[in-house]
Amino acid sequence: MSRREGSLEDPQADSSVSPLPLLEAKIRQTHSLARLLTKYAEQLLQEYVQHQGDPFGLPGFSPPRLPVAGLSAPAPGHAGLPVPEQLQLDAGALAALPPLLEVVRRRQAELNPRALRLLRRLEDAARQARALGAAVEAVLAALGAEPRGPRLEPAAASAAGVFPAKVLGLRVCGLYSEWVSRTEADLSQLVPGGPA
Amino acid sequence: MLTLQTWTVQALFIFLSTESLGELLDPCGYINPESPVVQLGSNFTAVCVLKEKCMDYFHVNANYIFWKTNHATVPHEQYTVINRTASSVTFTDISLLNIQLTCNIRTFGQIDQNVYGIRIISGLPPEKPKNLSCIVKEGEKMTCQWDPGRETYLETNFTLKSEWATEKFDDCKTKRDNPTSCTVDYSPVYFVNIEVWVEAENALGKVASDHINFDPVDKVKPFPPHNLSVSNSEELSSILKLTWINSSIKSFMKLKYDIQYRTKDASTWSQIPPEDTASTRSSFTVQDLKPFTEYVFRIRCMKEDGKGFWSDWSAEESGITYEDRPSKAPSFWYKMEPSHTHGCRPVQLIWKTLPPFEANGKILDYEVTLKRWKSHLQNYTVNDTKLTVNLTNDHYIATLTARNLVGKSDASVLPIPAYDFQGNLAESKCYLITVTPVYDNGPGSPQSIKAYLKQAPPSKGPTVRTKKVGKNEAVLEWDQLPVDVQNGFIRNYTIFYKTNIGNETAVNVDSSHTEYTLSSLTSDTLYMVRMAAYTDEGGMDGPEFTFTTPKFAQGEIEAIVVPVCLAFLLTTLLGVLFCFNKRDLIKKHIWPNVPDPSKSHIAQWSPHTPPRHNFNSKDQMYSDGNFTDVSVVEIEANDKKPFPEDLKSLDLFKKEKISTEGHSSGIGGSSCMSSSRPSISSSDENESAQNTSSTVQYSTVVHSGYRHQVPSVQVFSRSESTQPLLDSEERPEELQLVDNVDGSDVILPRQQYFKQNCSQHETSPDVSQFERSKQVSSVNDEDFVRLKQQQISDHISQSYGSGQMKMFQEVSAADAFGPGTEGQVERFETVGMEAVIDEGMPKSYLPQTVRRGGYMPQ
Repeated sequence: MSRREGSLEDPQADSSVSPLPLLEAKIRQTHSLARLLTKYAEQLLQEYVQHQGDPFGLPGFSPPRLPVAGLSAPAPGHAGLPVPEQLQLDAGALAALPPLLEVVRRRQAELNPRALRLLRRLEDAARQARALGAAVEAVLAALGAEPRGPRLEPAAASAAGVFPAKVLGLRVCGLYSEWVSRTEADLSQLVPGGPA
Repeated sequence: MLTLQTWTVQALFIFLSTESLGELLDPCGYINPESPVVQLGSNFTAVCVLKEKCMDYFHVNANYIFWKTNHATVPHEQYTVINRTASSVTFTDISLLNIQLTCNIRTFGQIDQNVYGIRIISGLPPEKPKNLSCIVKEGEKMTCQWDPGRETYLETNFTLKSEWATEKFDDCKTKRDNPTSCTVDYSPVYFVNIEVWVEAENALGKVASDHINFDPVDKVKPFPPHNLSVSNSEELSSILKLTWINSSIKSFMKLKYDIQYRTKDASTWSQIPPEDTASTRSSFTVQDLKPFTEYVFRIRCMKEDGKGFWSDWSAEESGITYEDRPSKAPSFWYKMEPSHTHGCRPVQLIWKTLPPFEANGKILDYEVTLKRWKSHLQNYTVNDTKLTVNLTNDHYIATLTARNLVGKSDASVLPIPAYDFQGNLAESKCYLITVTPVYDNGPGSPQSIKAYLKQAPPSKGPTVRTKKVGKNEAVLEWDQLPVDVQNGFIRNYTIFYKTNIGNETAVNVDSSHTEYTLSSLTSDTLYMVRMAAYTDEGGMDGPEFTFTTPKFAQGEIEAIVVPVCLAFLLTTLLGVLFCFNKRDLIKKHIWPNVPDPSKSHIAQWSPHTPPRHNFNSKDQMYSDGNFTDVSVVEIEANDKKPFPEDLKSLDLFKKEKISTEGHSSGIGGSSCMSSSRPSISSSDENESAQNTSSTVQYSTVVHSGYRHQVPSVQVFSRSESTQPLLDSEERPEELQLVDNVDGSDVILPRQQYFKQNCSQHETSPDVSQFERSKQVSSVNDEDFVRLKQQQISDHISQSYGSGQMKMFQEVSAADAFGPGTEGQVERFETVGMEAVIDEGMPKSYLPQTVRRGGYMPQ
């Protein structure tokens, strides 16, 4: 009995299942992780905002972009750098994020002790950032580049007062989302045939 | 009951004794170890130590200790009194899982007192857990399971450990009721490799399984596709389109599918080939389904690369294919109603409803047409399955079609015979009688038979012919008789055949055959054959046919001719080979080389006889027996081609003398008187030089022409030989006489000479000479020298001929391919030396063509 093909949802879904070379497999896996964490980071940011109360959830609210000690947002010229340098910056930022996320989690545990899912997400985000950072460093090592760029020493990010603490948390969650998204974009340049 | 009393007594005793000692539950001694866990099959030793005050009180020591296990006294052989207060007991190969061991003393009055008791627990250390595997159900946390190995009989804890490269996760402790699997309490993170292993631990040991490292995404069991729906197509009645919604895991994982379907009433599932559904999709069209049939579908999915687990099956969903026109016409028959009026008859037409797989849809109505003969047409549209019509007594053709939403079926055709239809059968005609049974639910399968009202002999006999005729057999063939001449059932055939003079032979052949082979025929004979076909009522002969058997069977002539030809060819080939090998001999006999007198050269007679003494030794060396033949050399003096270089080089050793002393010739020192006409010379002088031991010189004057031509001028020839002079030389008058006769006679004096040297034919001098000429090497070498001499002389008188070149080539060939014996080489050298010596003569001689004996004076 012959059958007619139905519509394909993913036109790129015809990749072979032959074993990939080790480096290619590692790049694909890391890229997939970055893409997954990008989604998780967005969910984390949404959930964080939901639990901070007004004015965080209000439309048009634009909190001040406070500088976070030891971590900055991806620079505008980041995309123009060579891929290894991009990944080195990504790895450095991903190494700096877990302590910041842990600080936010602890603060949120004080402010929103009942927001268990948020607390769990923050805990997971710290762990996942470490995993992604380690994976990026593994890719860098496989590419023959230095595993990590200048280490960003996380400062004792803290903010006195509830609102500044909430704003700091928002900023850290935002940075987390930006860096994993940036990492995904940087890794996509290495994925043979485009992202899986 | 007795046991209960014993325990009660012991407890009371202990209570009273401790009470008396002023301590609460102070035993009289203790057992070490206190709570042993022993591996099954191992040895175990327990020691019971009595307290001094108890020993004093009961007046006992360690010798009074006895052991009990589960209230049975342990044999004293297993006891060991360590000292006054301690006694041990040893158990080998412990096999019981739970042993109650007590230490007891027997006090005065044979009263047994229990001192202490322990419980020995036996078991096994844990085995290494095997087959560790994990699954990550979508929306759930990771669960791993394993094979714990053998039963330990002890409480064994299994701990699932997991870690990333960057951090460790909390251990997963198994529950008592399910010690072989554990679900971690953290959410899985895909695309990060995790390392997992299991540790098993009990009182006897701790062991870890092999570590497994995997990406949780490769262990995913996704949610099944949901919202499965089935839709049909009005354009195609054989397809159904499935659509579904994939789980959210599709956003980061490619999927493949497994789709199964069955008809509603079927129990077994059919499967879509996996290669057709090997990529992420949300719809699929199934083809080649039956029209208007309800199908049930279900679907499941998994990671595209096959890593992980299939999801559960989706909820089943059904759909019906669209209608198609009925694939078959309904069964159709008629009934004659009994009531019958004049000129009109009621006929009831009946048919069956089509089964669903033939109706291919809902039958809306039936269309009946009645056609009387070729003219009138009546149409009826009926929803029922019967129709009663009044027909005339004429013959009708009824047709029936079923119609559904899509179209009409093919038509069923039913002939309705005329009312007064009756047979008008003729004799000798073949009729096909068909009977169709009619049951309540429709017609059955018809049966037919051929029949004759009355048979008759065939009106024509079969025409026989030959298909193949052999030496002793012939294959006859014929055609079946047409039905209209058979006049009955052909039962058999008879073949009659005879020769011109023989009796007729008949052969019966079954009617099913159309071919027969006549055997045992005589070759090269004319046969007449005819054939008769028989029905039950008689037979009829066909036309006569004649054929002649061939004299030879096929291939027989070839079998004779080919070997003969091959034998002839072989004989010819052998003959040619023989002739080729003996070509010199044949040439000598059939077309001898005959010198052309017109191309002869005049040689000058050398008055000086070369000294012969230096040849004596070689003369002796070449004995008579060695010299066997004489070669014939053709010389053409007119050809002025120069000598090749090698020939010149060979002649260098004589060059000086040639240039200073003129031309000389003559082998063996022979010389010839010069003559102005062509002459034929011979190389026999070489023989004479070599084969005779005598130092007598003689020369032969030959007067001969070409074959039987008599030369016009008298010719003289001088031969230098060590042979005794022949009569002809000693008596010139006889020579003169010889010159006047035939050439063959000229050599008469030489015949005797050759007889002395060769045991060759004696009948003909010519033959002897030819045979001798076979000896190529020696004589040809000699000829070569002679040729050189002639060449030199030609510088003076004539040009060189091509024959000289030819001769040289022959000599060279003889050197190269000849026997190559030393004698021959030496002979050449001898001749060469001789030639050198001859060149010292004031006059030279041209080498002459061998002609029987000696040189012809030029």
